[in-house]
Amino acid sequence: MIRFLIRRILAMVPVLFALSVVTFAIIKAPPGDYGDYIRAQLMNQGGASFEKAEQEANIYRRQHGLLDPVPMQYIHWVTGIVTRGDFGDSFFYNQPVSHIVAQRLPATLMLALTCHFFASLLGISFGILAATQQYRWTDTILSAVAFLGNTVPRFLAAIIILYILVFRLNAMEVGSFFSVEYGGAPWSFAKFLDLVHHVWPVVAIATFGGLAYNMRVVRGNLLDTLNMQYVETARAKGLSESGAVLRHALPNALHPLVMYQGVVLPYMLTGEIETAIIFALPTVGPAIVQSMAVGDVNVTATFMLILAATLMVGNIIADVLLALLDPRVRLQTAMS
Amino acid sequence: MTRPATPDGVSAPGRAGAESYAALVWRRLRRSAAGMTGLTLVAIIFAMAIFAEFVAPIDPYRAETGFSSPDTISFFDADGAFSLRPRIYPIVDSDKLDPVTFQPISGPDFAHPHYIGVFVTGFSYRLFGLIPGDRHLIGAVDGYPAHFLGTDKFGRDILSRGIFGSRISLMIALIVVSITTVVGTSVGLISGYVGGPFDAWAQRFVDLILAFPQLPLYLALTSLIPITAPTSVFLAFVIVVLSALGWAQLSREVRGKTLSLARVDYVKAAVAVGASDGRIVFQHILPNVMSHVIVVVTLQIPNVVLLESFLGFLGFAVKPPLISWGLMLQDTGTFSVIGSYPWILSPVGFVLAAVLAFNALGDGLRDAIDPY
Repeated sequence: MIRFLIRRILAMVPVLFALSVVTFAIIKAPPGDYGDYIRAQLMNQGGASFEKAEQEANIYRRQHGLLDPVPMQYIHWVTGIVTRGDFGDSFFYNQPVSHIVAQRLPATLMLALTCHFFASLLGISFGILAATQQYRWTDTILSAVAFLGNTVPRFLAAIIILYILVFRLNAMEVGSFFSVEYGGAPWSFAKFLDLVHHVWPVVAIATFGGLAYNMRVVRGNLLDTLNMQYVETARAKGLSESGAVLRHALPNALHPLVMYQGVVLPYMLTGEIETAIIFALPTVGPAIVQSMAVGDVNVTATFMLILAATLMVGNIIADVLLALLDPRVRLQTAMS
Repeated sequence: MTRPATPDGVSAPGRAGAESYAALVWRRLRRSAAGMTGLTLVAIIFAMAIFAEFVAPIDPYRAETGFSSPDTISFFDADGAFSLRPRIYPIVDSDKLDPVTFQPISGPDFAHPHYIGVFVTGFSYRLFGLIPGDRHLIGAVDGYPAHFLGTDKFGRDILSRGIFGSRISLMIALIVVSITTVVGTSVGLISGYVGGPFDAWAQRFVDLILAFPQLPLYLALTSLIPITAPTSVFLAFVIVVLSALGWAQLSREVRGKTLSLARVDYVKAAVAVGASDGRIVFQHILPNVMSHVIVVVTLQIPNVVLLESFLGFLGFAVKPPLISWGLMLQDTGTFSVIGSYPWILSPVGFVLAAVLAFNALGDGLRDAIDPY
């Protein structure tokens, strides 16, 4: 098991390396650097002459190695990230990118995981329901729900729900995580309820898409396993129908779902980002869009790198879970 | 497409081998209600895009009063009598003033109805840049600019812009999907057929592309386009970005199919009789992969349409002289605007219709091609 884990982590390294190169290329591609920003600020707001401002900018550039050749800059950048968690500075926020990431990322991950939890729970339950009731009206309705969940664009759904909430139902709870009265207040049940009031549309929309995905996979696989002989045996030995389905058929139908988690995770994350942009929740999505609008490419690219790394970790967790569940996977990778 | 002899889907005995694969797929597709609805809608959308000048009631660039509400189609006279002829009553200001705001009270002008008709005369155009015409599918008989979905902030007709917008949106989708299909299928075929180190490296590369979170990468890459770039460059860049990331998933699936097909008896037989690699790939493997590719294409088009509209909504896809659905949605990002003028949400309907149609068709095709 440990060997399997190490193998997977080692396999991640080259991908991470390539990712970081692409990210760095994106950061370096547009003209200008933070030194130019300092110079512009000094000239516009400090009233400094061009030479004076350029001098100051060059001091910053020298200190941060922006005058080195590009490969050296890359090494510098990567060591900064690995050793100090230093992603460089943001033009727009005028603070280290790592601060912005630290502000935004936890909320995004929590939201995405909440969506993921509900999507799995509801998706699996609906999948069981649909498979056991195949071709009856429950199955038909759930299949229609799955089709809609898969196809209705999340950002369009978000726009329309936002419109209904704000202008038809007069909801005030959009655009932030908490109402003003809870700003800085310690955690309490009331505060939690307030949070739920603010985020439920985002969670609901992102969950809806993931739910449909999970449901399709579970339904398809459960239909296969329900025809297996061991399920027949379980029924024959007098087990109740629910016992046969839940104890014998379902565990074997879930493996593909765990395998799919690598695909579902980015899907949920994207869904969270899309809806959060519309609802203007202070998470990663709006931060990316804002930084793009002002050309703050360092922030945009860093978020991309972080999200990619997060997804890879998620993939590894999914793989480990699958290996724990299914000895065949474990043995196969151990042998190869 | 020849009509199958037995419409109920059971082929007559002795004729089983006579039907082509396409005919069989078509027969199964025809039985799926969702698939046929999708097919019809897709056909309508394409027709709308091709004949946009004819379908659109008003010149999409013609500017009038900004944010004017949709004209309601009425079947009633001023005295309430019903008549079958649809008409709209222009909204005019009356002499009376609102006692509170002192704004003129406006209401329908029952004295001057504008009748709605089909094949009416409107702005003149050149269809495909060649055929001159001034007939329009629907509109006011007397040439009054009827805004069935209202106008946007510059007073341009939303319905006409939506119809014209389908061109750019579908064009981007079709170009991107053609590129990703050609690249994805070729890489998948070669990778699966050649195998060895090339396969290993190609798959590493695919892994890498799939490892990127798609949306943030699109956003990061589109942020590289200089804001001052001309429209054509901007459009080309969007297409390149969308294509560069779209082919990986398809190539992985095609590779998997190729790997299993390369072990099938007829391919082995072809190898044994000394057929060339090209012949094996194009004559034996490609046709078997094609059905899967077609399904992926149909399901990928709505994704690209959606992505374009999302990027457009954020203001990173198409630039103003052009019209696209995403661009039309850009104003909906402002709360105050959708609060006062909810009809500017109507481009959502265009995107939704296109996405649902292509997905329904894709699902139907998938079931028709692989019923198991």
